[in-house]
Amino acid sequence: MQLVKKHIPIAIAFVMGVLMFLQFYIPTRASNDFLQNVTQWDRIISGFALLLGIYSLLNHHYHKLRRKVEGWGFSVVIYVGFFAMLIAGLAWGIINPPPTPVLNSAGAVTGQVEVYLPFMWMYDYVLLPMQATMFSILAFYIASAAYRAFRARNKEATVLLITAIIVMLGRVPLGAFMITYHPFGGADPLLPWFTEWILNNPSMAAQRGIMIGIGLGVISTSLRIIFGIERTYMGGGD
Amino acid sequence: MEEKTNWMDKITKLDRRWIFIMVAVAVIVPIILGKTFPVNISPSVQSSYDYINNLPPNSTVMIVCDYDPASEAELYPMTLALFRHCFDKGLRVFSFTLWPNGAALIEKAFNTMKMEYATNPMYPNGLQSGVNYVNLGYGVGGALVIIAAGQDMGTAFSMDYRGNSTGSMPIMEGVSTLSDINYVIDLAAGSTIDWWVAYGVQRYHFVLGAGVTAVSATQYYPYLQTGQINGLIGGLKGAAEYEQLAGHPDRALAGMTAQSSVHALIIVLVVISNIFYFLTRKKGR
Repeated sequence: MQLVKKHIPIAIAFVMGVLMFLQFYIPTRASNDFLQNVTQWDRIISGFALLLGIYSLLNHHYHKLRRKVEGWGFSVVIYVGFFAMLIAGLAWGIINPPPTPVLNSAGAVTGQVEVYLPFMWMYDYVLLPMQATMFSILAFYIASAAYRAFRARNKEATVLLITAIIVMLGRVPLGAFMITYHPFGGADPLLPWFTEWILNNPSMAAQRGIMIGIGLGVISTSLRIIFGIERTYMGGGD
Repeated sequence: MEEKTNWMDKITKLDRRWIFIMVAVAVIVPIILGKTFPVNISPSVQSSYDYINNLPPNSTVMIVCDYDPASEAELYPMTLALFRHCFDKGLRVFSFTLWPNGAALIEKAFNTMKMEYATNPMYPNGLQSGVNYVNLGYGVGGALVIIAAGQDMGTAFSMDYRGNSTGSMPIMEGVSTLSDINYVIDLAAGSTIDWWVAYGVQRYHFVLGAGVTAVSATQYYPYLQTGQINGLIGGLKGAAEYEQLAGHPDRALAGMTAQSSVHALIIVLVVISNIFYFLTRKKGR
């Protein structure tokens, strides 16, 4: 059992890790063919991962429903939504026929005739507005959170506060109307110019530091996986 | 004195529903008034625009729509602005997505273009799928799709969104890998730009641009400075800049007034809360 659950996955990770590493630095025809094969296999496996994800989601909510845990009503919504979209897609298809333009006597387009399939109707009139609503609610919470928490409590918080105000004004037309002075005789008024300077200098320097840190972390984790030190991907936390 | 402190305390602990109402008014009123203002063009948007503008007719542009309806408000106007610019220039437009819910948005955008260009003299037969544009749909496998397209576009996308074989499409003429695409631009709500840089640009050496939501724009400035991306369109403001440059004012420019008023409201609220915070702290001492 150890062989199947532990040694073979570690050996596969080692061999594939080393081969993919070498492939990157040896751009021959054979290595390109190898890469093409591997990507095709990986994409097929990704498709199965999607199925696994669906099974996992439905299974999780099935147990919530069976045990009637708090909020089980939302699990009903998951099941109804999932099967409504699935049945609509399988029964009537998932792509609307192309719309046809409506022309007036002068030949100008005045509208369009679009035939909706049930799947696309649900996409356009249920999924799309719901997801857009979820995201737009952020604006309300950001305003409320900023009012409550964005305080100049110390020097660092004050710098953050001032920078945020400059960037918020510089990123909208209002900023350009407020101060019309153009620094260094450039094309941009002060606030948009200063916003670009902040984004291109202090902000970018911080971002670059974060990116280098992430890059080093990715390299070290990859090496740990290739050499079998990191094994959490096999499950069980070992 | 205590009454005054209570009053200030009430202001600092203002019920969030009042703030929600203020935000709603700040968004709705400018949209109803419908007034638009010109926006300042940032160099990163200008750069993307110039690159597309200088491409000769019949060149190929790949607009990757890596977002779903949640980010539609910011990235869909960007998609439309880029499509319009490409079709005005007579370019061939390829599009696909690495997000499952993005393919239908691409189709919607192409259908909108078909209506807009139905009577355009540049396209006597209207915009045709497989000739002027192609929606390659959802690519399963994330970063692997980029590698697969870099190796062979025909294998990565054997069929378009509607199930037609891409092999016989006139739009595919001269395009066998990603390197044959004159300009790739990724409109991303997540971290797919990192994939496009690492697995696309570094391996297959094509020119890449990026369009992102406003919150994630700062993340991609390092790529811009190193030249790994040649342009960056950030948020609704970036989309508005592009609309202005392309001469097609639309949803993004219309939305900038509402965005201005909400930004101004948040700044006013933050200033007020800080004033009362200091006043109450002073009283507390």
